[in-house]
Amino acid sequence: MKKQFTQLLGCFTVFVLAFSLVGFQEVNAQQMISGTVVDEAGIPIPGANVLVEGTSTGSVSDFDGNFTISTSPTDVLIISYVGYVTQKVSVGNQTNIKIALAEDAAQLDEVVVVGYGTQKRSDITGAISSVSPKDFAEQPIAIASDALQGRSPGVQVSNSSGAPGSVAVVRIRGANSITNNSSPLYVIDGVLGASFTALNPADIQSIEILKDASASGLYGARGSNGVIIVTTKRGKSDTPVIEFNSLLTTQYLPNSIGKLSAAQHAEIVNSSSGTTEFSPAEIEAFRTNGGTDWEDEIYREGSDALLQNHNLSISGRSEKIDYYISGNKVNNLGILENSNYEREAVRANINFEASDKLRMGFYINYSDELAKNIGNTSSLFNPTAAAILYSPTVPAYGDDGRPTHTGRFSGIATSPTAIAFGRNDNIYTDNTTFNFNLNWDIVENVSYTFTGARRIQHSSNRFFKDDLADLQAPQAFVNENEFQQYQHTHIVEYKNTFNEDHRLSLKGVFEETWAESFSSRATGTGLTNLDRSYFNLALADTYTISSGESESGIRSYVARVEYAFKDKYLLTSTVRQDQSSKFQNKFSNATFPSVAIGWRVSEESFLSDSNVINNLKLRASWGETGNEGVGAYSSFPSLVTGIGSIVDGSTIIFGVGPGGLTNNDLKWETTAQLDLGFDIGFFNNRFTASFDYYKKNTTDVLLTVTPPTYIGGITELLNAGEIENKGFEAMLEGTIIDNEDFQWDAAFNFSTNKATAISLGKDEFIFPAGGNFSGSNGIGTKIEVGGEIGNILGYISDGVWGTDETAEASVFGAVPGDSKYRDVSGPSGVPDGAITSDDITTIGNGAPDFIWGFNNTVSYKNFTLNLFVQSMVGHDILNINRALTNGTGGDSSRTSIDQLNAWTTDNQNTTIPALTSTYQQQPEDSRYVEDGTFIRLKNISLAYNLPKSILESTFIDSVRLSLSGQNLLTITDYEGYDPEVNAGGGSNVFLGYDTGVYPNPKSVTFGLNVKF
Amino acid sequence: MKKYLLIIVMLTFAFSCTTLEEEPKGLLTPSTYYKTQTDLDAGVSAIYRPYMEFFLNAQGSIPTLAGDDVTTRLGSNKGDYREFDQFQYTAGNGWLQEHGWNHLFRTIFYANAVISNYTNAPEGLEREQAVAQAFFLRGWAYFQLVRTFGPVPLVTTDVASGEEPRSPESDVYDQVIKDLDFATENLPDIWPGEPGRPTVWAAKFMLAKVYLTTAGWPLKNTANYAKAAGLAKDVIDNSGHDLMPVFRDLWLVANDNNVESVLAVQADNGGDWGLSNRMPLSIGAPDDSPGNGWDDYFAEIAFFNEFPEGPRKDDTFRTSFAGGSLAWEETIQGNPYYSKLTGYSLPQNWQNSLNPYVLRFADVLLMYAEAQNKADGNPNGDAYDALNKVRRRAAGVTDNSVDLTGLNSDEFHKAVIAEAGWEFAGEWHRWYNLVRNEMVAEATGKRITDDRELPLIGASAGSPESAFQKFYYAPIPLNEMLLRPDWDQNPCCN
Repeated sequence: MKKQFTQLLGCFTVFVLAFSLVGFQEVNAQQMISGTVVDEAGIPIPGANVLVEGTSTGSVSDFDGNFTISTSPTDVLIISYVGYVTQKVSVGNQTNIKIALAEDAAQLDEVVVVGYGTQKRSDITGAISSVSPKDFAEQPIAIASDALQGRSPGVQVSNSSGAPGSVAVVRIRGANSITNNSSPLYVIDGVLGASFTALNPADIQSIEILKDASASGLYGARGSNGVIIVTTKRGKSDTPVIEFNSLLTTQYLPNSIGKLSAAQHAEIVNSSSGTTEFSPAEIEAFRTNGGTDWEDEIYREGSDALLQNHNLSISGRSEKIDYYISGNKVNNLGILENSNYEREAVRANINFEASDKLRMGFYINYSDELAKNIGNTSSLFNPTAAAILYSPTVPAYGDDGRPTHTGRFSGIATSPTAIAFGRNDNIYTDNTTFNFNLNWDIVENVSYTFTGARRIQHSSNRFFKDDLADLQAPQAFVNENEFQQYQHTHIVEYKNTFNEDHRLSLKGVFEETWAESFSSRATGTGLTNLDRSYFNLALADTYTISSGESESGIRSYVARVEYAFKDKYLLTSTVRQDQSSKFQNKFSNATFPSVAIGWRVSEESFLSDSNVINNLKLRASWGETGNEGVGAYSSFPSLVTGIGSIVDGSTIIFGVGPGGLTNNDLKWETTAQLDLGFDIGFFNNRFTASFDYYKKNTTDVLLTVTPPTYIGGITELLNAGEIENKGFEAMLEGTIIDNEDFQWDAAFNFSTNKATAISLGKDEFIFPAGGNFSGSNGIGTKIEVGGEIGNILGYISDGVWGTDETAEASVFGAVPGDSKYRDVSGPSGVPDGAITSDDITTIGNGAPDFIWGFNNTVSYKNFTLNLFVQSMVGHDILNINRALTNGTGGDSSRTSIDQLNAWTTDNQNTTIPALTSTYQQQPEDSRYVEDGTFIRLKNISLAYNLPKSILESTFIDSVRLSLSGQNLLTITDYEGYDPEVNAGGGSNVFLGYDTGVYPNPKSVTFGLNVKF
Repeated sequence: MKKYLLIIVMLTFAFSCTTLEEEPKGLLTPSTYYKTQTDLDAGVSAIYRPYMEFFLNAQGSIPTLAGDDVTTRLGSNKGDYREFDQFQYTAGNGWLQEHGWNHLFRTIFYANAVISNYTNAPEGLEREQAVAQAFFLRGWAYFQLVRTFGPVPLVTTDVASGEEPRSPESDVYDQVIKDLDFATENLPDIWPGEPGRPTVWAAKFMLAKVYLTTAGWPLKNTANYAKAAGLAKDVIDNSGHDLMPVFRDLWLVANDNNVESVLAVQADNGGDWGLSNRMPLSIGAPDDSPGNGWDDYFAEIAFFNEFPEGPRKDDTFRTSFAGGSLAWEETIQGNPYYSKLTGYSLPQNWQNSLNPYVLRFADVLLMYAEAQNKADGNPNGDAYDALNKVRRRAAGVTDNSVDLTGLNSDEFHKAVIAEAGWEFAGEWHRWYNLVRNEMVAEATGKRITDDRELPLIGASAGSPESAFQKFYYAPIPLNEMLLRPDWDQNPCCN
């Protein structure tokens, strides 16, 4: 199939070239014209949209209101800007047009990218949020996902790990699935499934977030998680603009966790084990000399943890060509020793007009990333967790100068230094995207747009761990993965207005995407020469090798109608049909319809004269979208290869065994979503607000079900069950103060989401696979019909049995000083006087009740102050580190400061059991569930623009200096490092587990921006 | 213009792939596998993996910590061991689930794939020998499960619903016997160069062990003593296996797969961590040197004190540590440690390649002695010979100076059980011998009750046998019970 595709792509290219030559002869000559957009007072309007009618050719006015655009004399320009009446101007013979826009309370005619085209803001019937670079301009951002955090309602962005280069978990209106990836679809310049990490945030022109079904329905089987559409920059200015931007950030560990000193720990160990593990002399020595501060050993701060982000771009446009070329270099050393992230990225966006009816663009983006030691944060065997668990009585380095590798009283054997310095897990990724697009006005009112794209991603995971990094033999591997993705999209659009009152747009899309990957891996174990790392895998006792491939494709047809009657009554309807190769059966075809209506109440006569309300639009939409995010070949039964065993005493032979259970009837998850909302604007949109209520029901939810282990310890993927997400979103924006020298802009957003399991197929409850966060017997989560998603399971503890409760305690086989677990239930469903697995119940929920963000930008003359607050409220976190450091669980230690408050006959008013208690204790215990609510000063920055007067005599256009701090203040009761992290990472169901995840650092950034 | 439009329309359709069917290029699918002898052999190789992992990690011992030969320490991460040592079992015992349950059921899972599909491969001796290994390993796994957990779900094909009930012990044993019957009929006398595979003698040995077990608690099918004796005698007389003359030589890496080894797991300390023997470090003393271990389990003091003196005792226990500077009473734990299982030195790099014994010839001697005595009501000369053969080596003598003679049936039985306890101390045997003979109270009654040993919690050293009966079976692991709330938990933990 791929071969056929390549051939066709070749044919198409020839066709395009031939066509463009013909095109030059046939069509009218294009010419560049320039113009200025001003308001009624003659003050330039920067950022106004200038569009050639019936095309997607557009320009944006610069700071001085100037624009240039390629037109032909018959063209009509549409000039629009928020809060002003849209104007149409015939080009005629003019080469320099001055347009004065009249303020219009009732108009909101910004053009918004909606997927496969654009729409006027005022015509939009769906729930679409926009994030523009000016929203995050004051915040230093190295990873594009950070630009989204706290910016729009319904978009939850969590930095579940603070590791450098780690991508935040992005959820639009909650997760629809249990096992499936619930990340939104990223579309960058029309390319579906583009890499968001590889994107240089400085290249972003606009971000649109499609939230409801009428908006995301355009993307059918890939739309149910919402769609994030990124448009990258184009050259706008007639004179080339060179922009240099540099950010230097120093980073710090957010806080320190209360741990025992070495002497205290030694005493606790003696008391808890009932033996003299440490002699009085040893304890005295610890008291005098101190012990090991593991945080100091593995974290670095300040300029040792420097994050550099440099960016250089050149952009501009001449008569028929516009260009934007940028280069970006990021180097983030991270606060954890031996971890870092680097990125180099270049981009060239070049558009040209072949004729007045034919426009083409070539976009090339290349990036090269290295992520070192940023993974492995969800288990206990990572330096962050180890630094909390490890005994301060153990020296960081042995007599031989090498990291300690067997610590006593530490729960786990491998020390923080041994893990941090003994592993080099390097992931090299390079990513190249070629994107060709063509836009042709075939006849009046009919246009054709083509996008052809190919993305090539090569990643190489080069891994080495020495003899101390864990308990196993030193090992190295190289894992190479070649990924390619193709896409071709054809859009035919018809637009017309009938009888003045009827505006109609019809759109048909045909699209195919194809992805293939090939991977190979070689592992050497029992390395004989550690210095050679992964550079010479042959220096090993044994090798294992493997390879694999996958291919998958989707073919899609889309039809869309947009209709407006008298600009008051709006209708949008979309039908998309997708066919996926991943489903081997009758379900491989699916159709996703959606419909939306809007009523612009403010256009009605009773409101059109209002001086207060200038815009009011009611919106309602319903539609279905899908999620086909299962792996290729998921419906094929397959065998596991490479199962090693030995029968002759030394030679490993590789066996083949059955794999997981397979399911031929796999199909898409389908999400039906209802959205009701309204937008309102006051005082010429000086204050605006949007409110949305939504309800999403996802059926045929894919579940990775863990059957009882006795059938082989395997899992099964099924379509079963239904998940409901519903929530409320609000966005308030306004310019609170608006003087010549002093301006205060504020934006507040708020959202709730509640996910509930409506059905789980034939089961009343399921235990999703995974979730052993506290060790091999971790309890994880349980999803019950009618229950919320994100529950944390465990035992409820009601403190500690006191000496006056000896009799009651003995019922449970406990003695005073033991944990008092609540007898919730028994085998027959009622309390049975015994603490057993029947007493495991919900002890918390890791999903927030609501999230909010509040962004303030205050400008005074040349100074700009930004305060950005971001918050999650009402989520619980199981602080597994605290549980384990209080002696619970298989891998426990007693390093927590809580141990000093352990129960004794003299200290009975405590929740910490007696040191000698051996009574059953699971880390999943309500006493270690904490409120994760936090309010975080995500960014505070002060920027200063050098006065123009100073720069006038130089070649420099502008200089901007800024000083900012990120995460400097976090208000929370949570006792771990960071209430934002989650060991469950991107999981939809494992929420609120902290096992020593890489904390999000505090940081201070100095920024310099120069334009020439 | 129309022609361009036409071209675009054509182009659009021309692009369309003719098919979206998947063609996995790298996957092996069950429907096309198990068709050749090579396929079958690879299928059999997989079964050995979980079987090996069961034996190569000290955590496989966990249910046997209830026996009087082993104990563990307070504190540290030994809770999962301690629960059994102190008779305070909980279903949440993670290592029990991982090592005592999951590895065994995975063995069965892999074995079932071979057993259900082997008839697709060409007929012949090789095929029967291949599948006979699968039957042997499945039989072994179910035997291990049924004597640890009692009723367990019985899955004998490659299709399982996940809704199987816990089959009663008698059904599980019937299946074990059927599997081992197939193995005895089809396994070869010897696997040249591959001592890790079971021979016909290993199968008969295992079957004898199963019969002996079914003759005791809970089935008490005493007719099976005779079957056990017959099979054991066959192995003693005809297998070519024999005792190693010197007890210490059994535990040297150089003597892996010696004449006494009827079946041993083939550990290697090369590349694959899961296939190396990680026991030595686990059961070492933390204050030893060179090398310091993790205290997973060590010897109970009363058991050690009663252990008869001689080379076997000297070479079973480590009683002096850190180059002789510490006596066992002076270590932090104050117990002797098991030196034999470490190969007499703690490995510096976490693991060694000492092959753990699955079936050791000394066992078949003692099994014969026990079974014959029970079957016939009196020990015969062969039974005395078998018992005394083990005793002589233990004492390091070749004459009859340590021989037992003239015992009545009960005395003889007790002598055999005691001998097996010493001979296989720390080798995960003792607990099962105590349970099937309902001797837990007697053994536990000797436990030291002062602070030199962990205190007992669920029962005490003076409790009658009836107080220990609820501890005969380990709890069904927690995660399994959560998925199967319809199952009844074992008496220990319900």
